[in-house]
Amino acid sequence: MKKILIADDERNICTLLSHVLINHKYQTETASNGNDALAKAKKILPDLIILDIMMPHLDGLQVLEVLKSTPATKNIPVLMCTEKTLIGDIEKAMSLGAAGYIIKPFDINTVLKKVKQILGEI
Amino acid sequence: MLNIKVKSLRTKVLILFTLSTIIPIAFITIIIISISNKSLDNSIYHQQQEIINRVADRIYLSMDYTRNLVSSLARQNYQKMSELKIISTFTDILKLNPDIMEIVLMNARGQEVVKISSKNGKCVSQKNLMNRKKREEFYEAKNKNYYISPVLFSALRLPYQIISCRGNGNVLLVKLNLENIWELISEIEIGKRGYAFVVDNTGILIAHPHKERVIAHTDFANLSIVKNFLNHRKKTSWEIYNDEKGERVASLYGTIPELNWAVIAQLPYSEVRKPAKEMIFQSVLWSIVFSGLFLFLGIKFVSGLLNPLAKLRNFVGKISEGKFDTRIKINSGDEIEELANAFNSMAESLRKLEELRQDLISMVVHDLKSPLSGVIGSIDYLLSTGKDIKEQKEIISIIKNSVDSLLGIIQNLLDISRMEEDKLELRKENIELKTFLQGTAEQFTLLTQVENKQFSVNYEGAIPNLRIDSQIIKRVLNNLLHNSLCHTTSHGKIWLNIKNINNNTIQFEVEDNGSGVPEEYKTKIFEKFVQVERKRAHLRTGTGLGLTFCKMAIELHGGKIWVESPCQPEGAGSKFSFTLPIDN
Repeated sequence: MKKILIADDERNICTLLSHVLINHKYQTETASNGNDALAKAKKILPDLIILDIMMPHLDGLQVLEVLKSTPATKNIPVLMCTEKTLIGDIEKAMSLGAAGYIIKPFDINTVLKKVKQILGEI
Repeated sequence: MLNIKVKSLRTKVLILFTLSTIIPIAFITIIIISISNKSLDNSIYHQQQEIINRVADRIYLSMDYTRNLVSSLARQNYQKMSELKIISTFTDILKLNPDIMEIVLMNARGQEVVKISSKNGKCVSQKNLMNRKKREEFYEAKNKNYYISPVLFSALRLPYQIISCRGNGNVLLVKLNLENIWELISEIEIGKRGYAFVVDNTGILIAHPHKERVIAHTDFANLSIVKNFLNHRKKTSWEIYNDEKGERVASLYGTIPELNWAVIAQLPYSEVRKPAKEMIFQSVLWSIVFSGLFLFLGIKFVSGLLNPLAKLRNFVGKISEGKFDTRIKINSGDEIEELANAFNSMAESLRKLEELRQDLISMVVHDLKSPLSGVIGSIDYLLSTGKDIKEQKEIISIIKNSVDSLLGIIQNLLDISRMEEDKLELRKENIELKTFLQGTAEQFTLLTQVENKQFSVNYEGAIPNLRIDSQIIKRVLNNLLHNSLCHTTSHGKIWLNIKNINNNTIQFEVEDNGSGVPEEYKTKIFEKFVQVERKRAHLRTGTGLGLTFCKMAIELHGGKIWVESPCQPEGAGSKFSFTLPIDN
């Protein structure tokens, strides 16, 4: 069973994504801020990280930078998640090595499709 | 540059400058001109007067000398003198006094006895002796001892005078040539073209720089200055009239005592006015020069004043267009520079305010959008495929939570703006604190469990009932607890401590072992719009307006709120405390 880490400070989004992914036979973990996300990523070494850009303490881009520069987490694909208004951040995230992105508010099926694509299941 | 508008400051200042320059200068010029004019006139007048007096004195003295000479000659005892002796005496006299043309000695009957004439320096004894018995010069002298004739003219039309005097049984007579007066007059200079002349008591010209006028036997009785003399009208100023050549002249006269002649000094009027005219010209010239100079300085000054003002106006125009980054630089070193600096700091404040406003808007928009994303995502998911009832319920409870949090944010915003306008009225009721806290704690415990975090509630001291607006205080607590939840990692710890302080205050503490609050933000986080993480992350803390709301709500209850957080080490956590008074 593949592990997915969901990092978003909006708790309800974590809950929703978590619920849907569990229903699709994934194991999930949630984090509500950048520090938490980094700690959990290092600890459980997930197969995929869904990372919101706007988070307290460390934002998504900072987390991504640390992940990509740490050997243990370097190869974990990261799916960035942000709002349409911050499109510049997405470009930055892609250049930092993000595997893809989704734009809020998102259609949950699109997210599922992206997750499966990145994990090479379709 | 000079675009003339009556109401413009430039025009006003220039008019003021012009007037304040020209009026005093003109005033002073006029005063100087009138004063100097008078003194100049006076000095010329007195100069003329002095010349007249001098001439009159000399004529009088020479006359007086001749008279004394004649009277002393007359007193000689000629009966005892030989004719030769008399001739030689007279000849000596004639040689010594070139003005005397002729000396005649008459006997008591008017018969000339000796007559010596001087012609071209040669003395000749005349043989054509005549009897002057019936002539004035004889009987007047015989009767009155002494006689001076009016001016007479010789065959060559030259003026002369006869002076006669009675002696011991005879009468002595001399003919006095008046040419010496001519010489005196020709030497006199008055100004450049002025001159003096002498008239006798009938207005006949006796001496004049132009001899031919005297020879022509000119009668000046109709000349207005001579008229004054003849009528004994003495003026203290010039007599101004047109002379015989039609030129305007300024004249005055002086009388020669005894002779009753007049010396007249005459100066062309243009020459009298010349120094005054020159002075007026100079004064006007300098007035113009100074006025010009002051005007120039005025224009410089006004430009120096108005150019910065124009700059300020442009600057303010830019500010009102919303260009708050504009700055103005004026180095005039005066109040205008101060004004410019004040404007700069105003622009800076506006810029900050604008930044805060934009931050606030994006923060509010973001805070409202985040829960909506959850709602929309959930609804999409519900609609997409057939779900069983249990799953539907779970999704709907997510929607419910999202909507609740949305409502909470909106409520915070509304309450902040109502508290700011003093429109929020607390609905205080007596609350049993433990029961009240139990409900809040239970809800929060559920949340912490989901995120694998620990939460505990501790009481210290007796916990009395409080009179508070329970809805508001509940939201304060929820705000603080949710902050802690956001700022702790999994397995983090959160405490809610309630302490009785001296039986008059209850202190609430929300403590966590999360990432803490940087020192510089400890007071700022309670301010509106300011959040711990600037740049972009601040948009997601959700604490900004939440803490502002908490501060305002607690202060409305008469309490205080603050945060303690050791900065080092990272993760040492933070402790938000607030107090509520017991007796309200």
